[in-house]
Amino acid sequence: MISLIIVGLIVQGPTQKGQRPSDSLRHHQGEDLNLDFELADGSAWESVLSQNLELTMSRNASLMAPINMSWRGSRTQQIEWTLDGLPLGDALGGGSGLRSLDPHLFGRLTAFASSGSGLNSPIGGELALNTIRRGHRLTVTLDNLLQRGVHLTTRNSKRSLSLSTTQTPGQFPYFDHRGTLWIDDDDQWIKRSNNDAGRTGILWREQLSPKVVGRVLMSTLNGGIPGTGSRPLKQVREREDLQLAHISWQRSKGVDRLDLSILQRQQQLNDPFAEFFGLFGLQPRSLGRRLFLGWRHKKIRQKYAYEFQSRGFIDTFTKQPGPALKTATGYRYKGQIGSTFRALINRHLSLESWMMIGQVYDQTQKLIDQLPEALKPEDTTPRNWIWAPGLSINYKNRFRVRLISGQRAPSLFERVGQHGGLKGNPELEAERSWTIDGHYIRQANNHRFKFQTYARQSSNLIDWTATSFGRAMPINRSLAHIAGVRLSSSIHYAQIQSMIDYRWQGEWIQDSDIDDHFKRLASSPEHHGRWITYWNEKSFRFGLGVSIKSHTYLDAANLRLIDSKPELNLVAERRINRYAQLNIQFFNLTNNQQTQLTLLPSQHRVDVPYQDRWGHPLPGRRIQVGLTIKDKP
Amino acid sequence: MKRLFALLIITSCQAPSPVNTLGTPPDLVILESDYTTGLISGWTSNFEAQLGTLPSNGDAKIVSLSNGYALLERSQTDAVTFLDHQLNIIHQVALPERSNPHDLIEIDNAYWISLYQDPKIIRLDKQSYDPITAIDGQSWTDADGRPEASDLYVHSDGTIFLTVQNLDFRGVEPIAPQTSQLIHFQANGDIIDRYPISANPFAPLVARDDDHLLIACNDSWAIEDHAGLWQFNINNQAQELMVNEQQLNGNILHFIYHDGLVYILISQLDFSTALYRFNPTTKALTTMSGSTSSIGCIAEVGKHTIYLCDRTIGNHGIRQLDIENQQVKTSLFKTTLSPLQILYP
Repeated sequence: MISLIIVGLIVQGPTQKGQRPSDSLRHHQGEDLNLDFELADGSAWESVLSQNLELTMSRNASLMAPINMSWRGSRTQQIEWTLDGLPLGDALGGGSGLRSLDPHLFGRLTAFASSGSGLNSPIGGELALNTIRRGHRLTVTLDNLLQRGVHLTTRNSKRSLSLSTTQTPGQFPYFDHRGTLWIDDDDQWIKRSNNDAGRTGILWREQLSPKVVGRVLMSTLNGGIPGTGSRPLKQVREREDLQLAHISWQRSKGVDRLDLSILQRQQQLNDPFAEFFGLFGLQPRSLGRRLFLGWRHKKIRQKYAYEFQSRGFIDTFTKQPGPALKTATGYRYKGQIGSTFRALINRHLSLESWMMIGQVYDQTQKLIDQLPEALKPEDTTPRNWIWAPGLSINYKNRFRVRLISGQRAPSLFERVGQHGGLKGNPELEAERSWTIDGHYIRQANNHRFKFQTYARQSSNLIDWTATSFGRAMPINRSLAHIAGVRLSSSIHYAQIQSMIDYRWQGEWIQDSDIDDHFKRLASSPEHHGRWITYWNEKSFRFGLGVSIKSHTYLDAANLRLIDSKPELNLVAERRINRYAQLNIQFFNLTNNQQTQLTLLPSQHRVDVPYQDRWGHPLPGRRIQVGLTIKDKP
Repeated sequence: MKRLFALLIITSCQAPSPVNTLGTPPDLVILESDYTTGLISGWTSNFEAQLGTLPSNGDAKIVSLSNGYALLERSQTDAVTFLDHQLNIIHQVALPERSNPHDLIEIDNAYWISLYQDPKIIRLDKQSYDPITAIDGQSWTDADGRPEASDLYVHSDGTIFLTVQNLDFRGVEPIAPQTSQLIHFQANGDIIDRYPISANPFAPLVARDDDHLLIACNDSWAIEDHAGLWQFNINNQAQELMVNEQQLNGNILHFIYHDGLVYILISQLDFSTALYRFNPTTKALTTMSGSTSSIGCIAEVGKHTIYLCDRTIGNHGIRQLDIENQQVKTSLFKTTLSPLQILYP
């Protein structure tokens, strides 16, 4: 019904070129990110995703750290990620779940800011991964901290297979102020411990028939949880395993597609000395499963195009807080329908509009029954409606203006809570955002210039509210107002390629609608600039990357201001022969290991380690050597 | 977009940060905290002006001393910082990792620090801040190896009392014991006796008179008829439940004894708060009206004034209780972060 209403509202638009048949109709709204970006550690998502300056990533000192990202001021949980169109983010803890997967496994990554490629309507955006990789390739890497990586891809007409493993001891020296900021006679440089991690994954894609493709993904991640620099965790370990089976049927013309998948994720955390939770019996294990069924119908005509989509999935979440407790299972059922229409108004002008509507239904009583009396939520409202429209106006493929709505339903965790003092809130409503954005692109033979601007207002944001008894409960309270401008320009002249990129982002965050003290988001710089240059000379290729950010606040109260330092990365590649190349990469060449923290409002300045969002110290200079053998130069 | 531009203008016109004038000792000291970030602020009486600020961790407690203040910090670090009356830092001492310091008292020649997660009381020399032999707390520690030692109190006769919760952290949630303990010390650290008290004491020990202490006990944090405000007779250890959680409809978060009456701050099951006045003689319980749903602390300032920490999200600060009319005054003294503790030296 909703689709029919939208049909009446849309105007026709041009057919976009360069899409794969399996791509959604809105695929052209995304920005491709390079998964083989040379001036980044390809094993680290934060390096790969930082190519988009609208995405603020916290560099992580460990593969185990949940990935913390903010996209146009949204939070990690408000970012969706998909694999060949399958929504995985909310099943795997939002964008932070990406840590389980090695970027080398995938063939393509497209970033959809403030929107999704299809039925997803995230507040932050969608990171769409694609499984197809090209050719045969083997890469072996080793760095001075003894981090080792092996990445293999092979493909023929019917089959592609990617294998990847990264192992790191995670030991590096860091500055430890021991938590005593007012005395420095106990300061020390020590080695990071319990920071080892290993991640291994396999992705197999098989063309079973001209219309049917099967995919299997398996990954495992395990290692130590190191804690902050001044308060390290010595024995806390975590393991996460992921298995996904996906089969899709698609007409050869690519206008009808059916997807069926099953996902399973096991997670366990071992805290034998109660360092992490303070409770010896809290050794959580969980098993999450998702059964997904989706259908898509796409039709592209000369003057108009449309796409209908529907999907449903069942999530089961089983958890055992400790060995002394029995398991309990909760369920979430979600159904969504939506459509996208594109119409050509005239030769230059096109319009695109879309609408999604869905419902989330939760069965959580057994999870609630498992909780102690003082943490049990009282009422339950198991249903949550979600809906999100969008409109895009395009002119000459140069100008684009969009109005987009995004929404996030509260997670099962937020609605139910968990042991250790986190009380759930079944009365939570979905978070809502409205975004206006626009861009202008100018392209010539050797030069490209892009101007982007965006503004977003988010309301009903879910925040945890703490009490003196060491308990917390989420409520809909915060508001966020974001505005940003991004300028990027690239030039390709003779042997030189150069790109400069700058982003400004204003943020006005309110703790509640009666708060008149606007703040910035934690760890989000106001200014961020980047300059990248490559120089090719016969069999050599040299690259230089400089990234500069303005200072950021470590805390939501904006009273802990941490200095940022420019970061310099270098790469030198030598092509040995047609198939092999050797490279050496220098990360954090300026060896940033220590910085200054200003404690406001009294302006006390103290030395602290160079650290990520969570206070985990970051390594200094890193030198990585890599050998790549591939079938195509 | 209009709203965004309006916001831009509003934020560019905000008042500058208060200037530190640490030469003047504050009349009132506030611990402000959102539980992640903390701040100590000094104020003139009646909150007319802020005199200075000092950063702290979000999980902290400040204690008044004869020569200034002591700031106990935990969660992000374990340390005690000594401040003078002008909030200047005199000295900082690192405490055992994850010991979770809970309270500090001053006696003639030493400071005593109770540790929640370490079975000992740390003692520091008052002059040099050097450690003196710690008091071994193995005898009052429960099966999880941690005592959950809470508040210290120096009685008028010079002896010292310590409440010990003895919560059991071996499971997936802290479990309240059958009885917690009140430990009675000589000033030299010798134990006079250990008394079983109602489970899970929380909030400061308060003397009603020379013979009686008031102790708030919350048991399991559910609403129970045997939990509430207890009176403990120091001479014969007789214990009397003055008012229970059924009557209060919540757990006791904080209380003060003022002018023969007890003002009790309650945390209700939905995390909102309520404020009551309790007459220990008549047992009359009166509800205080006004903005009481997000109160974090209550403090007696002088003989005639009671201040409250209002932690309402987005509109926090200090409010005064109109004692006569039994209601919270509408005026709000704004603080940078939500207030958690008020000290009147």
